[in-house]
Amino acid sequence: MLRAIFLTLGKEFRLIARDRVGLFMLLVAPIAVIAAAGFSLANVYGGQTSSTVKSGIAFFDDDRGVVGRAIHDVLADSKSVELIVATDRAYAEDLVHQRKLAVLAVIVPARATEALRRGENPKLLVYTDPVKYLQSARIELMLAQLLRSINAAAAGDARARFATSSAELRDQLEQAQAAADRARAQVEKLSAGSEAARAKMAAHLRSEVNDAMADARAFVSAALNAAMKRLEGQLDHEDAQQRAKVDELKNYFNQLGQAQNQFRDWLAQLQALAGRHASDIPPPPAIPEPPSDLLTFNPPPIDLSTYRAQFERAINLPPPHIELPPMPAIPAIQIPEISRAGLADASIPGALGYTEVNLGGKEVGFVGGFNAFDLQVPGFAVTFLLVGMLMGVSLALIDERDWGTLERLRSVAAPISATLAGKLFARFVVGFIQMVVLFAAGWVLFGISLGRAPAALLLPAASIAFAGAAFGLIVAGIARTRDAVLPVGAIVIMTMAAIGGCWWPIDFEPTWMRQVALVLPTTWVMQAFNDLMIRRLPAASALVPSGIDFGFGMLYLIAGVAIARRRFAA
Amino acid sequence: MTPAELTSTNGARAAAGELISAEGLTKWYGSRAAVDGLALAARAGEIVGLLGPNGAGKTTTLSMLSGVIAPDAGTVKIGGFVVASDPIVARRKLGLVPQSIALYPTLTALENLHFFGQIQGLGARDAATCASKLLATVGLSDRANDIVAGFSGGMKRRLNLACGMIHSPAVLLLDEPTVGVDPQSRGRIFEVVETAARAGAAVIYSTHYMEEVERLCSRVILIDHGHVVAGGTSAELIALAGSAPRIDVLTRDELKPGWCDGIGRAVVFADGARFGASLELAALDQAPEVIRRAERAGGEVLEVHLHRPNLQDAFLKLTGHALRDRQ
Repeated sequence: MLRAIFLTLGKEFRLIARDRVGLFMLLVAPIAVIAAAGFSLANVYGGQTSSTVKSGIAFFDDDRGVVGRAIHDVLADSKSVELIVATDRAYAEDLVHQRKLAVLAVIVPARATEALRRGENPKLLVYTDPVKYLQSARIELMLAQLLRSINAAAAGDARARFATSSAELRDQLEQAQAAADRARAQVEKLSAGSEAARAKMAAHLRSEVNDAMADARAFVSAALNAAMKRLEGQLDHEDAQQRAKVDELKNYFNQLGQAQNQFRDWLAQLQALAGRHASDIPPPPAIPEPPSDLLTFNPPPIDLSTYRAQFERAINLPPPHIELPPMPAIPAIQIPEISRAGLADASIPGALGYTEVNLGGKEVGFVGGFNAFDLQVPGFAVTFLLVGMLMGVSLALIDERDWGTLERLRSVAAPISATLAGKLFARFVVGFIQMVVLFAAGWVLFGISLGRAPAALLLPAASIAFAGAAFGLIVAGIARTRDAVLPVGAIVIMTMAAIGGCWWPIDFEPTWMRQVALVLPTTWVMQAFNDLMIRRLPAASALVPSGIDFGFGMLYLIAGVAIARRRFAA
Repeated sequence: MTPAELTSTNGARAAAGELISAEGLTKWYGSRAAVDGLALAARAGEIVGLLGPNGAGKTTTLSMLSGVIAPDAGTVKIGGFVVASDPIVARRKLGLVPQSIALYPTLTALENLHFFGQIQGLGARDAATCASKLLATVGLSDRANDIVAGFSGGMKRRLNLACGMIHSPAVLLLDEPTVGVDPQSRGRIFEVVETAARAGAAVIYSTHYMEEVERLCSRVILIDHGHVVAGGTSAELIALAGSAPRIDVLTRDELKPGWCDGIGRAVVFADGARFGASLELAALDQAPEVIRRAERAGGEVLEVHLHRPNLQDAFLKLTGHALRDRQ
C-alpha cells in the first residue's frame, strides 16, 4: 500500500512537472494576479508598497497665512499626493468634478490663520469625488492628521506661553508666601513675649500685694489691740455700772417684798377687824413679781478674747490670688496656603490624539495600514492553491479515467485507494510547495511580512493544502466530466476565496456573510495568515485556525473518499 | 457440440493447468444482464479468443476477470486465487491490456513501463530491465525516452501491450489490442502475444478480427448477449455453424431470375453500375458452373470471389446479421 502510494506520488510529480500549463497556473499566474491586485489596492490598505500610486489633490489657499502654507507644504511633500495648486475655489472644484484630475480639492478659507489665533474654529472646505471614495477617505485621514498636527502645534504654543506666565506667577506667589511666613513667625514670637511679660507682672503684683497686706495687717492689729483695750475698759466700766444698778434693783425688790409682806399682814388684820365686812374689802392689787432672773442675774465678765481671735483671723487672711487677666488673643492672621502643586497642574488642556502602535509596541504612525501584498499574497496564494487542488485532483482523476490508466490501475496489484492517496498526497505536497514558493516570491518581490515566526506560516499553509486536496476529491466525485469540473470548481473556488477573505479583508463583509464564512477553510487560513503576517501575533495564534482547517480537511477526506470510491473504484 | 459441452470439456481437460477460470459470471446493468452465468477457463500457454459482436459482453467479462468491476455473481480464479477474496495476490499474476490506450501521455515510454512494472510489484531494477527488453520486443527501444503523446497509434498500442505484461503475468487479458493499428504493428503485437503464450502465459484475447483469432487462438469462445454461444477451436466453431463455401460474382448486366436454378439460392444485389449475386455452394467444384451461368445471364463476369467457410461465417451464422450498436 505504502509502496503504491509512493510510486503514485512519483508518477504524479512527473505528470505535474510535464504539465507546463498547470505549472503556469500554479506559480506564474498567481504572481501575476498578486502583482496586479497588490499594486491596484495598495492605497486601499494604506501600507507602503514598492510602487505607490499618487492621488491628485487640488489645492487653493485663500488664507495665505501660516495655516495655508503648512497644509500646502505637507501635501506637496507627501509621496502619495500629486498636488495641483488651483488659482481659485471654482477651479479647484472643477478639477475634482469636471476634469477628474483630482481625488479631492482642499480649500483653505481666507483668514483661517487669524481665526485660529483668535481661538475660533476655522474649517477647511473639501470637495470630493464620491466615486473615488476609498482614495478620498485615505486622503481625508491624512488631512485630519495634518489638521490635528496644526491644532496640536497651536495648543503647544499656547501651553508654552501659559507655562511662562505660570512660572512668573508661581515666583510671585512663592515670594508672597515667604513674606506671610515671616509675618506669621513674628506674630508668634510677639505672642510668646507677651505671655512671659504677663507672668512676670503677675509675680511682681503678688509680691507687692503681700507686702502691702503684711503692713496692713500689722497696722490693723495694733489698732485693733488699742481699740480692744479701750473697749475692754469701757465694757468693764459699764459692767460695773450695770452690776451696781442691778444690785440697787435687787434691793428695791427685796424691800418691795418686805412691804408686800407687811401689807398682807396689815390687810389680814384689817379683814379680821372688818369682821363681816371683811369680804367687802377689796383684795389688794398684786404687786408684780420681779423678774426671776433679775434676782439671779450675774453676768459674766465680758471677754473680748474671742473677738480678738476673730479679728486676728480676719487680719491674717491668706494673700489674695492675683491672676492677671489673660492677654488678648493675637488675632489670627489668615494667610492662605498657596499650593504650588495646583499652580503647576494648571495648564491648557492638550489635544487628545492617537498614534497606531503594533503589537510589539512600536509606533507605526497614524492609521499605519499594511502592505497590500501582506493580504494579497496569502489570499491569492490560497486561491490558486485551491485552483490547483480542486482542478488538479479532480482533473487528474478524470484524466486517469480518460487516459484509460484508471482502468489499468484498478486491475493492478495495488488497491485503488493507494492511487487516490498517492494522488492526494502528491497534490498536497505540490500545494504546500506552491504556497512556500509564492510566499517566498512575495517576500522577494513585494516585501511582504513573514511575521515574527516565518516558520509558523508553514502550518496554515499545510492545513489549507490538506483541506484543498481533500475537497478536490469531493469535486472529482461530483463532477462527472472534465467539462463539469471547470464550472463546479470555479464556483466553489471563487465562492470560498471571496467569502473567506482571500481577496479583501473579511471585515469588509456583512455580518451574515462573516457567519457563513465560518464554515469555509479559507476563512480560517486567512485568519491565521493575517494574524501571523499583518497582526504579527506569535506562532501559537495559528494553531487553532490551522487545526480547524485540518478538521475540515478530515471531513472532506471522509466524504471525498466515500464519493470517489463509488465513482472511481467500481 | 453445445457450448456447455465445449466449456465443460475445456474445464475438465485443463483443471490442472488452468491459470484463469471463471464460473457463473454475471453482471447486471439495471434490468439488462450484460453477462449472464458465463464460464470460461484458460491454461498456461493457451490463447483463448473471446469473440462476440458489439455489446455481447466481452469487455464486461474481461473487466470482471481482471477485477476492475465486481461481478454480481460468480467467481474468478487467477492462479488459483479467488479475485474477490485475494485481489492483490490474484492481480499480481494478471496483466490487463485494455481496449483503450491506457498510458500516461506526458510520460515517456520508459517511465510508463517503470511505473506500471513497479506498481505490479517489480523492483526498480527489475522494472528497468524488463522495460528495456519489452521496448525492444515491441520495437520502441529508440523511442524509450520520448513522450508518449507524440507516438503514433500503433506505437501506443504496442506500448499499451507492453505495459500490461511488463511484470510477466501468468494471465494476460487483451481487449482488442490491435484496434486501429497498421499491419506492421499488428504483426509485432501478434509476435509478442505468441511469445508470451509460449513462455507459459494464459492469454484471453478479445477481438472483432476473425483472422486474428484464427491465427493466434487455440480455442475460441463466442459470446452474445452475455452468454457463451459456442466454444472450441476455430474449425470446431466453423463446423458447429455448419458454414458452406460461398461464391460472389459481379456482372455487367443484371442477372436474370433462375440463372442458378439447381445449384443453390442466390442473393442478388446491385452496386451502382455493377450487378452481382452471392450464393452458398454445396461443394467447391460447383464454382465453375456458377461462373459460366453468371456469364450467360449477366453478359460479362467482372469479378469472382470464392469464400472458403471461415470463422467470420460461423460468427455471423451464430450471432446473426443484425447490427449491434448497443454497447
